[in-house]
Amino acid sequence: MKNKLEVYLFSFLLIIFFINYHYYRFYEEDFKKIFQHVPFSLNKNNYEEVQRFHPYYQLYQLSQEIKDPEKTIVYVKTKVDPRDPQYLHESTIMIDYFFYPYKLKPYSLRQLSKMTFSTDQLIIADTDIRGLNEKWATLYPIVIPRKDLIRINRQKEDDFFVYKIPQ
Amino acid sequence: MHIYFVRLFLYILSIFLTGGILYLAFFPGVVRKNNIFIGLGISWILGIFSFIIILYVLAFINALHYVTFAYFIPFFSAVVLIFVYMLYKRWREFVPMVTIKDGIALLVTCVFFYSLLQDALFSYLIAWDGIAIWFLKAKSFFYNAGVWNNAFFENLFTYQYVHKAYPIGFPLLIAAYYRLIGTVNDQVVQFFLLFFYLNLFLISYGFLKTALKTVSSIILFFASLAIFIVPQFIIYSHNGYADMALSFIFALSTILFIFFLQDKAERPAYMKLLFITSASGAFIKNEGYTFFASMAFFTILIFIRDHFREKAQHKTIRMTRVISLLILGALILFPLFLWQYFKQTVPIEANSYLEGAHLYANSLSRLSMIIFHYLDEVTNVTKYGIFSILVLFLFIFEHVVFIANGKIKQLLPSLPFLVQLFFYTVIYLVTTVLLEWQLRTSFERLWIHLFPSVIIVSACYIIPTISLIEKTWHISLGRAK
Repeated sequence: MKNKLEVYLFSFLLIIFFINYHYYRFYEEDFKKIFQHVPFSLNKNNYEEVQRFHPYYQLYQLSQEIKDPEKTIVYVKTKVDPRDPQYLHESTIMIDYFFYPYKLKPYSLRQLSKMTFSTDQLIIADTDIRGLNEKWATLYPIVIPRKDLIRINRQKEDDFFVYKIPQ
Repeated sequence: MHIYFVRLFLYILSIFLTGGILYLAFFPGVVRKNNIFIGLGISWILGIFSFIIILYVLAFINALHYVTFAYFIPFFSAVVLIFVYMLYKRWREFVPMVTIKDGIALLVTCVFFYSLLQDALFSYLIAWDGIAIWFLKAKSFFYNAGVWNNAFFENLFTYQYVHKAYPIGFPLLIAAYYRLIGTVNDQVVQFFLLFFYLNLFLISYGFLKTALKTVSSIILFFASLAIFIVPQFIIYSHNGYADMALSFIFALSTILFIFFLQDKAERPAYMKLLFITSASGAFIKNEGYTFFASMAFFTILIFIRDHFREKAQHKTIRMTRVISLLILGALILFPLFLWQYFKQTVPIEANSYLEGAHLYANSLSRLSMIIFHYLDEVTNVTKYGIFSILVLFLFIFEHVVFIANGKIKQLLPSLPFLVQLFFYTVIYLVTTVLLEWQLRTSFERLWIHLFPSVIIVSACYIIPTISLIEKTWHISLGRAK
């Protein structure tokens, strides 16, 4: 410290630093959560293990497992808001992202009601469609229990539903 | 160590070293006058600029498949050798840049941000815009060799929400890493994005050290930490958005603009660095275009004024200076021209948010809504910490003192920030999108671009403001001489 003014300044800054640091501390604690499940190591590829905590892990997993998703998956998009052209359901973004370079064509409920399915097909919908039509009541939902880090500032992800066609 | 991490670190190092070579080779005067923190920031942006230009050209000749680790090894080796040679050649300029104190500050920075560095390597990608606008495009550049015959761009009616017309520098940088490891890894690459944040912190600290030489480094280090560890900066540090990159670019441009105004001897060098830095913003995001345009406009204006003054004083005007500036201008405009040409040739976006933009009859009430939202954001202590309020008060107070003392000309460093804010306001005034929605979803990111520049400008005015107060009121505020 060069003079008394600096001592005052330093004390003042230290207080502000600790006030701001308490926010940063939240994030530090949040960052550590993943390491309770995935040990920090640079010696192996941890991608899959970390990805298991992704809120849309099931979509990611399907994108990795299914060879020809454009044929196998029927994507039902019901969440559209004609008054709000900016409206975009999160599942659309995630499906587009995970399945790229494949592009899953979105179908409406009306289009879906006219379709026939084979048993190797899957349906992904942005709403629970089972109660909407008698035909769909027998669809078998596939739910993968997802690990959750319960991170701070997390917004609850938009719902999505994955169904198997019954035999 | 797994190859994904090794290649990531080599990729980041190659950007620093490429930039370092250019910094040492072409700007020895600037190297001599600046500390290591500003030097690191300049090296980072010079590297980013060079990589983006190369990647833009490769994308436009559909040759991105040449970006492989096999080709990267000789490139990296050459970069290391040339860098070592440059260090040997320029050790006189470089050595004074590095002090033990600075080394300790760098070490403390790494230790302090250790958990952030870890998180950047081990977190999944979830942020909407990051995925939709940047990472999806990065995937398209991983699966395709360039922009031509790329269905992602050429099919007008798919992925309409991803703003295909946005500049492609950011996704190209991400895709280059994917190509080095031969797969898509949207977790590890976030570590690369974090370097924009870390460099932002370092250049801000470096600038405070330069602008407030009489204040101890430890005070300035704590001040910089206190400013940059607030939630908004941490959230955007590596979440996949390009806003932190722009924040770093605007902050570095502001610093370079201040040096450009203050240091007449190195003015041409700072001018070139300013062009490169601000143009890098235009390669990354649309907001960068206006910033680049205003920076180029102000610097060229001052350069022309200098030119005529030198002419009046019968000094010989060095043509090499003009020619080198013209070459640099062409280099900067080339990728922008390529992207523009592609967009003209292949219609890639069905509707832009600026389509049909016009001034509304209720512009005044729109303006009041915009200002209300601005104030709401910039005084948000939860997002920016209590320092934000202090900085804003300081910023306003300094302007009042300068204006009251008739020193308006000395407020030139504020100009790029104010012009950029003006552009943002104009966009909000004319947008066809629902204003409330657009303000709510975009201004917090735009303020990230500008807030560090406000801090830098405020810091630059502190000493002159104290001098003006002392002069006006005949008092001494006890600054160490």
